[in-house]
Amino acid sequence: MDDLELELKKGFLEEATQLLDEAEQVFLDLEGNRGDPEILNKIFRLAHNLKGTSRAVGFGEIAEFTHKVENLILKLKNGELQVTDQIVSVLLACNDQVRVMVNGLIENIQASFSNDELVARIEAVSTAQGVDEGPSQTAQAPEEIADTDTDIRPEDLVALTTAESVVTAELLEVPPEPQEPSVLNSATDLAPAQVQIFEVKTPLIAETMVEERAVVQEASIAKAAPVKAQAPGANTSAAASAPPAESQKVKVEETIRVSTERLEKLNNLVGELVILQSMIRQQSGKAGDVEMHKAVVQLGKLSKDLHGMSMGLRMLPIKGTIQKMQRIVRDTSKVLQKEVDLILYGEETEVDKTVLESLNDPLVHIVRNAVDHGIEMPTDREFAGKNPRGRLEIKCSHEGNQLVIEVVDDGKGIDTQRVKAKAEERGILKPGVPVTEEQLINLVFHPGFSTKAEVSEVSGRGVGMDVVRTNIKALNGDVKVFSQLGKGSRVRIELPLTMAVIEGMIAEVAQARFVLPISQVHETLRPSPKSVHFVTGLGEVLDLRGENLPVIRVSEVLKLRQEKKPISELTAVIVRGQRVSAAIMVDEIVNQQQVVVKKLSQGVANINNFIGSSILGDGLPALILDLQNFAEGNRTKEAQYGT
Amino acid sequence: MAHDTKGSATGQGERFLEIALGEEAYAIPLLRVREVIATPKTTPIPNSPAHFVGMMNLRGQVLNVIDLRKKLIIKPRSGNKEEAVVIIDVGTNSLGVVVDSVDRVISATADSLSEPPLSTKKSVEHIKAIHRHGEKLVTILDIDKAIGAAELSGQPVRATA
Repeated sequence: MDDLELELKKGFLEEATQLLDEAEQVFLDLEGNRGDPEILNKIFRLAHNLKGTSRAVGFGEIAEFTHKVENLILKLKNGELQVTDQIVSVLLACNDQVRVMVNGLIENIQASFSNDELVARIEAVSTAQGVDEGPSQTAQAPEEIADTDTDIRPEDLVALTTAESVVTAELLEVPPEPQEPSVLNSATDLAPAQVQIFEVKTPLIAETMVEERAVVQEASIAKAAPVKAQAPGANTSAAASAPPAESQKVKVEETIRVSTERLEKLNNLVGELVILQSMIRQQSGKAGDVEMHKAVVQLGKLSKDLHGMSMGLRMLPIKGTIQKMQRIVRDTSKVLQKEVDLILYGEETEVDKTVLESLNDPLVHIVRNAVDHGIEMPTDREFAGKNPRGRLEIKCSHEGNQLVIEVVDDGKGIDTQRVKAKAEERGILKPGVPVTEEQLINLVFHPGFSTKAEVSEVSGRGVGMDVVRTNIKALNGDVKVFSQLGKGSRVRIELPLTMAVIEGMIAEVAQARFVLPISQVHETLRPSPKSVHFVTGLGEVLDLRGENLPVIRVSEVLKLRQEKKPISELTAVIVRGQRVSAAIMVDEIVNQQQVVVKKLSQGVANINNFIGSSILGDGLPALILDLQNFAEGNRTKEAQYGT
Repeated sequence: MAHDTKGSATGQGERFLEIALGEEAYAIPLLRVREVIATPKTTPIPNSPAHFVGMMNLRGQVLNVIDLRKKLIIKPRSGNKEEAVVIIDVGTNSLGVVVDSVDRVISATADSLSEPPLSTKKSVEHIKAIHRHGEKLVTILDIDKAIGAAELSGQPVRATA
């Protein structure tokens, strides 16, 4: 296989995943809106597109398989078959299979697959409604178009994949669907003369418009060789120069694909800029030149904006991830024979790409939990006076500097008494020791804890929520659970929005400097000698307006050499966590500064103490303390639960 | 394995950076050397091993700096104005290594190289070969073993943006 072919195939595989995500979404839509011709059209176009391009790049097996799916969809479109639950399940299964093939090909470009079982299923549902399976005249037409569709010259494909962008413009005679263009992303700003749109109509499929392709080429590609499609007896018209044409019919979002590696480099450079700027700022503050200092401060605002924008380049709408949950809900509820409606809010909320990727698994687990453990069986719900259909909401929003995702169900809630019994049985809780409702609910995060009698097929192994919380914490976020017996539960995920630049307080401890994230600091104060007490077993305690807080000395935790000064000579940083609050002692707070959070370098022990490293205004690196971790680390789990 | 010199890694005309640790001459594969700088200001890392000097800022990147003399238990030169830090590539990251001086670039061939003498004393895994230049002997280092790369990379790193 030569380089060109390999590259074309890779390009296809990249695009395919996006296509498949979309397809899945549409299949799910179909289930809710069975008769909707627009949805059927959309599916048909997706399948057709997939078939054509896979064949063009040489993935015969995918093409063949997709062809069969396309035939099935055609029958649905023509009304020869009715959309049933079973058919949707088959379509989803086919989508999964193509995904498996695509992933398999990504691993090994030569991979081969056997789809016989699924093909048999397709045939089964196609004939089940008593329709003649033989290729009818109408079914033949799309095939013909498809065959000539693939009459594409290698140069055309080069144009397709090497162009920075490809536009799929959708022209419909019926009111446009608001979501086009679906598949491929769109144009760069090129002179209209370089844009050519080809339109294909065929009288054989009367109501449908086969999708148009506009191929935009970079000036550097000499040959203008757009994709041509011809069908016997069809009108082929070439519409010349028309930039995002008929824009009143179609909303073409102008985007451009950029490799994440480039974005990383950009972010690094901008990060360096921010650091240098604060270094200059510090020096110019001392230099005494007012005009220059003003300019430097202005530069600071500019670089902060620049940094925000470059980080923002990696933000994607959370839509893709939470829409996947629809599939999870559907499958899970079907298996358990429950009825669940999923409502999504805030799909457009933007999230950093790396965060998005790490969110998927935890969300899947939480959603499965909600359907499995939360929502009751329809009969039980009716008995309790509820709507037999359960309601699951996923709400995403920005709250202040955080991204908040809440999964809310109106199920049966957490039975804290059962939890207590199970915990005592397992030795996690000591009988007779008082525990609050909140502590009991939070036992759901305890490793290996599950109140289900047996492990169900879906969830209930009891390892999930613990892992979920670890993963979220690794992103500097937090997970909280709230619940009311009989009414439902709410899982709240909080994540920082911009991970890279934080407001920090520079603190000195034993002549070393550390950064304290202001977001973790509740208040700071210099304690009076009277407010400090010593309690055997608990250690030093600070009386803060009547509240007793444990005292944690940073110099001790980090084993820094320092003679132990009395607390009243130090500065207390009050930290409030979900369960514990503490007074963390540093020598003094020296400064406040924006810092760029950098990865911890290798070889740093006890990484739990630190969020990362950063570079201060004078150019020296400093470690960023994870105050929450300090606060919680002080009390062991036993102390929290009273064992 | 670590002492096989005639074959692959130290073959025909391979180049090394000759450095001094204490009064001894050592050499690091030139391809692994990213740059050489004067000893920078560093921030100490709490709870780190003895040979860790601390963290430094290299044009916006935070790197660790270790003292190779301490790691290999070699007595450093006193009052040394030539002390320098060699930045080497370790996987996708970089590491600063304190040395007593940076001397020259040498080219080693199959003729100039010989296997190190067997030793039952302490671990000599970090020695790959001995290079002879006239009267002088230069110890070619297996740099990954010398810095303890295995233990370094085993440490988990918390990722941020």
